[in-house]
Amino acid sequence: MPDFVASTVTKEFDTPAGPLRILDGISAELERGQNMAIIGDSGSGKSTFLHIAGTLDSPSSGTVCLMGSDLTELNENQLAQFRNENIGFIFQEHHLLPQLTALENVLLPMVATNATDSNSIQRGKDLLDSVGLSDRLNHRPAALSGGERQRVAVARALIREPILLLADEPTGSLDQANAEKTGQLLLDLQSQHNMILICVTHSSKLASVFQNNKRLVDGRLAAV
Amino acid sequence: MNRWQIAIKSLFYFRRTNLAIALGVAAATAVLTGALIVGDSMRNSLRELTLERLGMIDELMLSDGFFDQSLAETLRETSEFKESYTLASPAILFPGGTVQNSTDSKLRAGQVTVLGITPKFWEFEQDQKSNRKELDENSIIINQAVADDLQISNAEVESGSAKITVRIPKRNQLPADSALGKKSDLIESIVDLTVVQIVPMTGLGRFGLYPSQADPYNVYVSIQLLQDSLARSVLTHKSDSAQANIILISGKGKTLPTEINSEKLRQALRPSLEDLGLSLKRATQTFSIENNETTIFDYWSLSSARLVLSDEVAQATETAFPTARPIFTYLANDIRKSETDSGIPFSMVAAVDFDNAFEPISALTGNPIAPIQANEIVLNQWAADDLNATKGDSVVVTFFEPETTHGAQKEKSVELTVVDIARLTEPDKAFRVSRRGQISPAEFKQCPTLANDPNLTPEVPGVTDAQSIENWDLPFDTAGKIRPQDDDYWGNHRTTPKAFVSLAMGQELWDSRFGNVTSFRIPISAGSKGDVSKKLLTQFIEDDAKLGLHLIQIKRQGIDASSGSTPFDFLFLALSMFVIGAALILVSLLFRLGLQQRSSELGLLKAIGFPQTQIRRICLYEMASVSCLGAVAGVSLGMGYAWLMIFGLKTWWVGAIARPFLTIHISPLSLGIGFFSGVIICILTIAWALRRTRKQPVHLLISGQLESPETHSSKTRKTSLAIIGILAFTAVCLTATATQLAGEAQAGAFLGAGFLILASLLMSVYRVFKKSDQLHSSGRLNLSRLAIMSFQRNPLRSTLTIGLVAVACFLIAAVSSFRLTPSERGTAGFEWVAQSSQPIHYDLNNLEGQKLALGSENQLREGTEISALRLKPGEDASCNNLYQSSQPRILGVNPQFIQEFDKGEAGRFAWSASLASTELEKQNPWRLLDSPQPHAGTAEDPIPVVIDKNTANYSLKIYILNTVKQIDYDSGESIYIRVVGFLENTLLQGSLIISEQDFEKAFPTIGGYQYFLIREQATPANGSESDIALLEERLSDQGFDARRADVLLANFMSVQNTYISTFQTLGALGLLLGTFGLAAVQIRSVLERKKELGLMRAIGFQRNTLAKMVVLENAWLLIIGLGIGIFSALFTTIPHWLVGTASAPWLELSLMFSAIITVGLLVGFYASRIISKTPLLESLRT
Ligand SMILES: Nc1ncnc2c1ncn2[C@@H]1O[C@H](COP(=O)(O)OP(=O)(O)O)[C@@H](O)[C@H]1O
Ligand SMILES: [Mg+2]
Repeated sequence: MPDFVASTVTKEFDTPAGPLRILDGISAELERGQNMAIIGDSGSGKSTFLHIAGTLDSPSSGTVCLMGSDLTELNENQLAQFRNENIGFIFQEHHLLPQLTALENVLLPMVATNATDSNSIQRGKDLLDSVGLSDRLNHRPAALSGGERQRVAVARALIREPILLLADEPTGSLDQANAEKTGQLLLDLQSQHNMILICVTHSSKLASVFQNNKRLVDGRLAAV
Repeated sequence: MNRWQIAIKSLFYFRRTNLAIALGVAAATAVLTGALIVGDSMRNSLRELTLERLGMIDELMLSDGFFDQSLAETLRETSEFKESYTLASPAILFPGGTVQNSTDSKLRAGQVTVLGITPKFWEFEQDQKSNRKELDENSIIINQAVADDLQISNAEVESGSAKITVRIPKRNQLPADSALGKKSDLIESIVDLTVVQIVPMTGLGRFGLYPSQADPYNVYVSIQLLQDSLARSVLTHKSDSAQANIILISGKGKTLPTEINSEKLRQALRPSLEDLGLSLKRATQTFSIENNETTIFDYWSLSSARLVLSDEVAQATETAFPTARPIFTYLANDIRKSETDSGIPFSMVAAVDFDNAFEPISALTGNPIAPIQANEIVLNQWAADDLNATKGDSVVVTFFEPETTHGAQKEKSVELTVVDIARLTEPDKAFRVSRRGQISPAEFKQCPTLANDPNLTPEVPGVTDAQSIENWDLPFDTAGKIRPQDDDYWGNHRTTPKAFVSLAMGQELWDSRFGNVTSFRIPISAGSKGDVSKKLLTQFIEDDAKLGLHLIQIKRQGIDASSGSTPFDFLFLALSMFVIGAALILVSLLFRLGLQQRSSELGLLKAIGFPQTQIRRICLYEMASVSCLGAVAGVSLGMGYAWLMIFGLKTWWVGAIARPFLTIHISPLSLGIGFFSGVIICILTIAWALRRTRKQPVHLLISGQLESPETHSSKTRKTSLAIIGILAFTAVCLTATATQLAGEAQAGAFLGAGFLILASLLMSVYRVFKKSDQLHSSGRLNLSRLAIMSFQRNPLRSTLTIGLVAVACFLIAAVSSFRLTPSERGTAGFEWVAQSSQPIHYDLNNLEGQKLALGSENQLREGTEISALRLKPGEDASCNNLYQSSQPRILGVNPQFIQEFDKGEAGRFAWSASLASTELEKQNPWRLLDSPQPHAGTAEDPIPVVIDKNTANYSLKIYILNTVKQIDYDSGESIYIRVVGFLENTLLQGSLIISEQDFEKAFPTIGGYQYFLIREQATPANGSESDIALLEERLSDQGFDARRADVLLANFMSVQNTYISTFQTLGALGLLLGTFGLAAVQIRSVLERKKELGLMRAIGFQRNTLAKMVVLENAWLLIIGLGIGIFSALFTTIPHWLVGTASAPWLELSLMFSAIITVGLLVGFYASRIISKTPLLESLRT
């Protein structure tokens, strides 16, 4: 079985006007080391799919399996732990905690299960180094530029060495130069850490560098 | 880095929001701590006042009569005393004295405690340094309160020119209400005593038996002076005038003697029979002819100084000496043969059963007389001769009824058949009374008989020791009736009975509440005098008979009472709850606002795999720190707040506590309770707010949506509707119940109902806010609508804000309607209330009585009606006394008083509730006190009482009708009462009211009337107070003191009204919190909507328009909150108006509410200014 399997995932939302089907049987399979870009119109359900893939939301039907375990069968606390250990998120907005420094923000996922030790701190520093922020360790988010903040968020996503890295329009709020830089960084880190990367993006330029390239239309994934 | 560190970093980073939350916590903690400290201070101050009032006096031995002062010394010698006590000192205490300034007789004070003391008295002073002048026969020490009333200055004292006259009761040993009891001349005046010192109102300067924070009137004279003054009256029957009526006792060290110690001491007390008012005399008559002495009679006679032996003594005597025989001798005013017009005046008639223990008296024939049957009488030889009566004749015996009311004696007659004539020997030499009052017996040439026994009549000082009949000191006229032969009889036979009836017959005719035995004959074979008295005293101890000596743990009682009766404890905390509630709403609001800001933080933590429990923990760590900081500040604020309250109670609101005696007392326990309660309830509030975010999907949290607009399924809609319905229904039920309750319970129920209504209204508002689609549907939009719609953005927040305002309004409006104003129905049309220090025995309603009481030339005006009530002195249980009372004052109302209210509505008291069932009782609930027979006052047959509602609730802790309660008096009486009616804020506050017949049964020894309700029908032409002035002047010796009824009532009410003022300040505090919350919410909400408002400006809204919208929003929140608060308050108070006497101070209220609106609007303007100040682009960018 492939490392990541989404099979016939559907998602419906209840609205006052009746159920609204956003995802209509999405299937995808990816092995470690593979990456996939999803493009699609705004409102087509890309974020919804990513949330389901990352266990932030549950599908109306269908299953999501990572490394052989069916994520739809886990309870809330198990999911939290699973997410913590195996999944990394990068959002369009960086969502750094303003009260913490860059390094602390990167280390935050470690605190979920444990306090940080010298190993993890070193790892955090290395990661920030690898995203080019070794001289910004103790800056608060307010003192970082947009691109820098997003790179901290990338480092934070990698601190637990996840298997699955999910990025929802990671470059959406960045300028051209920063966007390209960040996109490339993601792909580099993905292959370097042998992860699965699913990235939602508007930019077909960015999408084109990905191994797989899909478009979400009418609730289904179609080849581009 | 760990979770704590994250929490701490957040704490500092979001310090602005957290500071606001901490302030909310501080407010809640401060109010709670403050309330606790005020309660503590009240209790502690009362306690300290008790300790001060009693100095080192831990216990008191009180006596109904007088005992030899050496009893204190004998007590000190006992091992039980030495074990746990140190000091014991005798004293004389008269609670009902009056004093008068000798130089200006207008300056008087009644209800003065006159203390006859030894120098040892001052050793009981806690503060030994204070130096007291020595007292001699002509000097007196007074306390500052007396000095103030009599206008005596220290300068006058130093120059020795301050002189006062003291009047004390000269209470005869005979109960004044008995036929022979004296009705007048019961006051002993001690004139022109020089005041040598004025003692301050500290320490023993405020000594008193009953706990009260009000200043007592005390004067101190030497015990010797009182003993000398009373030697010829009260103390005549004592073998020695060195008597006391109280022993002050001090325990060891600081701790109180235990109850076991006290009981041991009581058992160790060995009073003599004389100390108990009993006398044991050998009655003996011998006759010798030719050195051959025969004994005619020889026995021990046990009698009482009170003429009649109490049931307990009678019982103990019969147990100790089964062969002892009772005698009941009574005074017959007249004995005559039927249908004749002259008879023998003033004869003793003895009711006695002759049997084997004592030989029967002999008839003329020398044969023993057969036992006398009912309606039979045996005359002695002298009487038979005088009446010319023989066997078979019928005679009429006339006598006074044994009990009198209003001092009017009623005569009664009985017709009896002469069954035999008893032989009586005329003496050779008559009795002789020496100058010193020593009586030497008559001498006989011929053998006297058993009937020659004057000892069958108990001693009555002033009567049995009189030189001649004319000298009898009796409350009725004897002159004019006495014939020469009666004087001869008195000379020859003195008190020897002229007739005999059976014991049963006598007891039937003359039984009274005082008893039905005058003496016991104990056979001489029982032993020596010492043996007999010892056996009797042992029996008393064995029976645990209450013989008028009571050892009371006065300090323990006082300390128990200082746990307080104050409405403070309950009401203060209850009303504080509302303020605390407001503070909690504020905490919750502020916390939500903070959380809102950090919604995406919560989402992110969730996304990166923090389990829910950990997220909560991080939040709670942070909030716990905030709460702790807030609570620490709150505790200090609370101390300040309590200090301010106490300062207020000592100054502006001193009416509530009568005297500024309060000092702040801060117990670590209260601080601890305040701190931890503050922290815990705040954390719970926060946890509740957090819980609501638990179910929110992560991606929504991340996008900043803390709570999703709940899809209201028809199910949740129905549940919420059901809850609203249940709340409203419960509120209505509670109000209905409340009308049946009284006092604290009623106020509590009303407030509870109001609170429920408030909650249900708020829930309704919440529901409406959530039903956003319906409001949208009309499609019409204007500014006001936009404002209202903004509430739907965050229904809960809006509702909480409204709640905050509503609670404050509710508190202020509800509390102020509990204000009282004196009403006609509080006084029942009585214009004056008077109390006398000494009982008055005359009926002031008829001319006869007025003549006797006021002097023959004086009389009261037509139409002045005086209701005289009996009074059992006790603690003032009205709201003027902050101590809890265990021995309340009792008033006894006579049948006329009860009947007077039959006529219906006009001029009746306001009743809060009663057990009335019949038409008559409903018309006049006083009828509930009526019964054919007096009640026994036992648990099975409790005495029905009427009490003022407030007295019952606050002081006696009685809340519902039909409550049965036991009341033990230090004077030994123990009665059970049953509450049959509550009066509502009347001038009868502070007393239990029972019927006169129950009063007489329960307190047989209390005679006369001491409490008066006076109606003046017509307004007199010359000076409206003339009647009252006349009464006060003529009865000044009795300390008759009248006060205007409406003034007295207003005084009572001012206490409650003062409490209300303090509670209103609490309301103001709630309001402050409300405003604070409102400001926080508004500012926050504007900041949150910067983008949106910016956009509105971009599309063409003017700044002013937007500002107007924000102000409107604010106004809407205020108006809805105000409306809900006032509506709930009305709901609470309208029933209260219907059943009670609530009246709202409209002006004050409208001012208060205008203030609320003004402040609220100001906040709105401030918030709107933020909009106008923010540049358009900046607000769009962020
Ligand atoms: N909780 C929800 N309730 C109803 N509709 C939703 C909800 N979340 C998302 N949607 C709808 O689902 C659709 C897909 O949203 P999303 O996945 O965010 O689109 P995008 O492809 O732009 O990321 C949108 O039309 C949105 O309106
Ligand atoms: Mg999206």
